Amino acid sequence: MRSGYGQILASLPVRHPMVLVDRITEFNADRSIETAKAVAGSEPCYQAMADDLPPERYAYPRSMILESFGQSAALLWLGSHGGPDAAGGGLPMVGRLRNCRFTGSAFPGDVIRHRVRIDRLVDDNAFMSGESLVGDRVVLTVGSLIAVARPLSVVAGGGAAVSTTAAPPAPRRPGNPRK
Amino acid sequence: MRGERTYARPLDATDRITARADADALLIEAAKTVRATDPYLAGHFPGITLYPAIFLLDGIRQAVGAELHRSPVLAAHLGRGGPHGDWLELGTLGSARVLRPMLEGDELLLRIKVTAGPPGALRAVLDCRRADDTQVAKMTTELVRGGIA
Repeated sequence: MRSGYGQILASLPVRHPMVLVDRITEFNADRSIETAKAVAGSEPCYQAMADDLPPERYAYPRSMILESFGQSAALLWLGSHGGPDAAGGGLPMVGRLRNCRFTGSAFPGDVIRHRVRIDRLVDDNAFMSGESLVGDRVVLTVGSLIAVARPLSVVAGGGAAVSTTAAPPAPRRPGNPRK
Repeated sequence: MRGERTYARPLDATDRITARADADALLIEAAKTVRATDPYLAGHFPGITLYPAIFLLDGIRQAVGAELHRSPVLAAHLGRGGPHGDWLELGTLGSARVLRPMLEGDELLLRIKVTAGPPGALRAVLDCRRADDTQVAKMTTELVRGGIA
């Protein structure tokens, strides 16, 4: 059984430098997941920064925190019994977000912990919610994230030829991670 | 080497921007072409360059930050900025819906209407379309000054 970062790569259809989850710390199929994302100053989002900026200018882009949360949600859904595999496959994607609130920032050196819960599984949609923390400080609350599964042909533009060798890897179930 | 950016961002989420202010709103049109060479896109996804819809949120905050000076009323509502007053952050995301994939070569047109939100916040409504006028995403968000929350 894969564990650690290899497990994440085997599950998510994204690759470096867009893999924004570093570790699965807890996993309960059909229920919840907790993940960790370490913010590093070497990430592309910090390139070409001017010199002599005050520390707060290095706030990690909040869109990236939300993307990291979304990838954590995908890991949960892919590992659930009603996930995209059961719904006929397809790429897991965020279809809709509602009622998200940012209440803080993360900086290089911080570890963001995402807690994601499945609220409902309906056909090929998953309704999830949760929050992201730095230490004991909540920096993001997600009221509702609806994940959808889309066939690769649809994602690629309605049947456009896509090399199978170049296609995203088939999602696999995360299984029980090493804690 | 001295860089230019005064706040962190995943990529430059707009290529060009036009904007005009009316009595109580700022109307922005920003264009962004999806390029595989942009930061982060090499990994999203391997074999298909798919623009992360979440980056549209950066398009909103970068465009509004750059053009806010055109509307003194909205700038005053948002509150005083620092020496680099173009740094805005996402406060809330009321809703975001992704309707179509955004692929390499697509030119995305971000139409953003900015109005006053709660005290210290601006409300931005995004209608994002491809060059063929197909709507690909819509979002409603509130922006705050960077470094405040």
